[in-house]
Amino acid sequence: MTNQTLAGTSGALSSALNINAGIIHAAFGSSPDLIHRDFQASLSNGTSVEGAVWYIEGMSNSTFMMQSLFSRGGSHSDCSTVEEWILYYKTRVITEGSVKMLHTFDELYDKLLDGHSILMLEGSSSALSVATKEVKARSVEEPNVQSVVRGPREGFTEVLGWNTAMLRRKIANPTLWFESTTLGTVTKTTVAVAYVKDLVAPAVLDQVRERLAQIDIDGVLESNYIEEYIQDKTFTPFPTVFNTERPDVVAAALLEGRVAIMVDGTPFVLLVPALFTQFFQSSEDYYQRADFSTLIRLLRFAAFFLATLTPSFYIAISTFHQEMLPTTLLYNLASQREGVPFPAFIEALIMEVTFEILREASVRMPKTIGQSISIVGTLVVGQAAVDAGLVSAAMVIVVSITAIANFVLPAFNMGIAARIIRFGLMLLAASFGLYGVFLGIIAIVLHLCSLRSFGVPYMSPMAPFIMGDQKDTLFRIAIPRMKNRPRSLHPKKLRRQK
Amino acid sequence: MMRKPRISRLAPALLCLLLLLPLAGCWSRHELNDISIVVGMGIDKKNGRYQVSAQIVNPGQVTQKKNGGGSFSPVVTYQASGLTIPDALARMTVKAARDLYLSHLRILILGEEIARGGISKPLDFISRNRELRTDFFLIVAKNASASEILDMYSPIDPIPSNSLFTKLETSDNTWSATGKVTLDRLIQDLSKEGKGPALTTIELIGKPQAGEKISSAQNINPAVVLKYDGMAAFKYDRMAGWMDENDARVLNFIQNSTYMTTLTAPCPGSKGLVSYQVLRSKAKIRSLAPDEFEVVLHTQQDIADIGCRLDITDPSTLSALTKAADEKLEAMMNKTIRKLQKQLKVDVFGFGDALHRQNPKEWHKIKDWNREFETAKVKVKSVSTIRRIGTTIKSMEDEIKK
Repeated sequence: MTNQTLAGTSGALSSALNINAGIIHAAFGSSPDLIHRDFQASLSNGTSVEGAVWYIEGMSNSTFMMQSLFSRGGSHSDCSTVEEWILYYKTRVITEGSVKMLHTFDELYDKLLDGHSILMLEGSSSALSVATKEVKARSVEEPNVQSVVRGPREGFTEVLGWNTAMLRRKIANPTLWFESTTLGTVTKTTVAVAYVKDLVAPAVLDQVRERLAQIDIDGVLESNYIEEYIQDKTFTPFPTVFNTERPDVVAAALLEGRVAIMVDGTPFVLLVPALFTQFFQSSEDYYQRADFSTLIRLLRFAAFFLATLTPSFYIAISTFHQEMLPTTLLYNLASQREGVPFPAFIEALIMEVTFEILREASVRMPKTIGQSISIVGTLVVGQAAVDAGLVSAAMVIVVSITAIANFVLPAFNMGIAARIIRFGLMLLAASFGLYGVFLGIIAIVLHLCSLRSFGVPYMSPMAPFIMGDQKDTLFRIAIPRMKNRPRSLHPKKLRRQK
Repeated sequence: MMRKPRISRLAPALLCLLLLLPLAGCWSRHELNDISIVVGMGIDKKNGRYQVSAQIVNPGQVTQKKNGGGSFSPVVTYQASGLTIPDALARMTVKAARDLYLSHLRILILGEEIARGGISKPLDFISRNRELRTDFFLIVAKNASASEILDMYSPIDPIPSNSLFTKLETSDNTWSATGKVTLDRLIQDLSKEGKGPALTTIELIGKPQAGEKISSAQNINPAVVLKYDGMAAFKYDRMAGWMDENDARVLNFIQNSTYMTTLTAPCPGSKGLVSYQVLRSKAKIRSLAPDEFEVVLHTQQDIADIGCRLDITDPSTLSALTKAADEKLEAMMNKTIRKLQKQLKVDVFGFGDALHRQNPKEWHKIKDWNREFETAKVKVKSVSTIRRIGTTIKSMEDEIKK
């Protein structure tokens, strides 16, 4: 109903063409992308009737429609009335797939904004909408963020229809259901909830529907708008909603009984429930042999610990617990620290913040000058800072290993969590040493155990421990042996195989 | 479902938590460049006061690689005297540039006077201090003060204490004639009634003054050498006397701390010597009666060298070689045990301990074990096994005479 207030009109179409035209033009504020084309339609009694066609430039391709309209000079002489003419035109002339009669301005605006062309004749209070929609969008490309060595190369696009088709192609089964809703009072963004009807956990699906229904927002431009509304707990650095731009990941998740939320206009699809271990799994884990995948997965967990703990451990050990270092290493570290003016914590902070700045810069800056930034970054942050005596060489190594380990995580948002935690732990390490670090770790573990994603404990299948799900948690055993779906997700059918 | 963060409620709690961090004041924090790493410590006694020397590493000089090495010495030794050891260490801070950090102590040298006067008093501080680990070696300086030993430059390893540490470790692993004693071992032995402690001895060969300059480390043939030489036997916490190399080896055999050693015995039936490499050894003390013991030493050996004509392919030769080794080992053990019974009059082997364990009733009747030990009968028995003969069959001597 907001459309009416925005357009300042209401109700049904008028039979006077110029009144309708005036209302439409007023509603769009005479925007130049609204194209208005007048024509004359001839009736059998020899009179000609004023007619008009509207469409939005760039959203529709009305060439065929215009050709059919003007091919015979608009003369369909066997029609005696305006209604007859429209009906004849609709059933015999038009070649486009979807054609519909409209009676209200609301319908008209929706169709017009969806790329349809609207045809109206003087003396008729109904309009004809013709599906001349033409989508101008990025074609299907290889995903940029979640790339793999082996595996499908296609990624989602910004067009919802193409994305659902990609999913349909992966799961060629009528039990793959999409539920479509429109979110955003102004943007009217289409949001589709996808699930496999025979597998999805009903409780999770109800939760998704309920939470989506409660969203009150003017615009949805990316799936994160929805993510922030539907996530269980907002006060946590850990993501409780998974996002991916890979159709194969979504298909795999749907087969496990998860629910996907697809938003028109973004290639990133949300998956719920999202568990902690899911963020350490890459789709490639299933495209490489099980032994290799298991090792890589363990490596990712190790990298997560490195990314969160290395600087705090370094600070704690080098300022509180020097007795833990091998003697020769202590000489080395001590000689490097000679002449460094700051405490280890400040030193670490300088390097970490510098690195964060460099990373942020390299994400935002134009690609053409990326080279120069990386040169400045390596030279300034690496060698020069050490030579200038601002930081010790060991600290550069610590920060580098932390940074590299952070990029091992396949999920970017879990990497962000690691970054946030890292700074907190560094502060604890500087104040209390390893005692503080371990208190921090305990607090984080408690927090992780308190989290839930759509009713599923975040740390499952580790806490609560589910033996069967261990086949695909830390380890990834051979696919023929994964006979069951993850029990922690409560799928309708547990058995994967017969 | 929408859940708003309850920041209004969380904020005060978070603030309080954050305040904890600065309030803690980084207690006991010391940056790496605020500490002096003590690697060696010497304790002497002079005029009734403890004279403590601490060897401190200058890390920049130890690890400097690109600037061509510094002109400063890699270590500095400070000395201070005090009524007690902590007193002396506290007084040392007026000389040393930074806080003394004791966790990385590699070696603790006790002067002979301290050793003879009783080591329990200085050891109390050493075992009580929370910074000190227990993995450093304790040694006794022979014919020199502890500070003189610490003042010597060492070739190859720029840190003398480190050199002393590794020297002791390697020699103990391959020769087993020195014995390495760490703090926990020493305290254990000190608290035992039936086993006296024994500490490694270090000796200085050459003029002490010549070794104090860095130039002494530039000679190919060093003017002064620090050498481990046997052990010092202790009766309770007082040193009873020196044990020579042979005694130390026997002690290591009997208390099962031999890792690997070399044994030389005369050739069976002809002139010349045979060397054995002892790879495994296991000794057992059996108490037969309160004053009668039997030591059985099982060893496994390789033949390392044959210096005479021997047909080693003949099985009887091997048994003769085994017998020669047994005789040698038994002679060594007999000699040392007699020496400790008659001369030093202290049981460092743990015979009393064996009695305590195997016959506690009899043990509790004994008042002064060391006196009983003097007259105890000890039978020794060696059971050697020769495992390998090496990569040649005939000896070199044999080859040439053909």
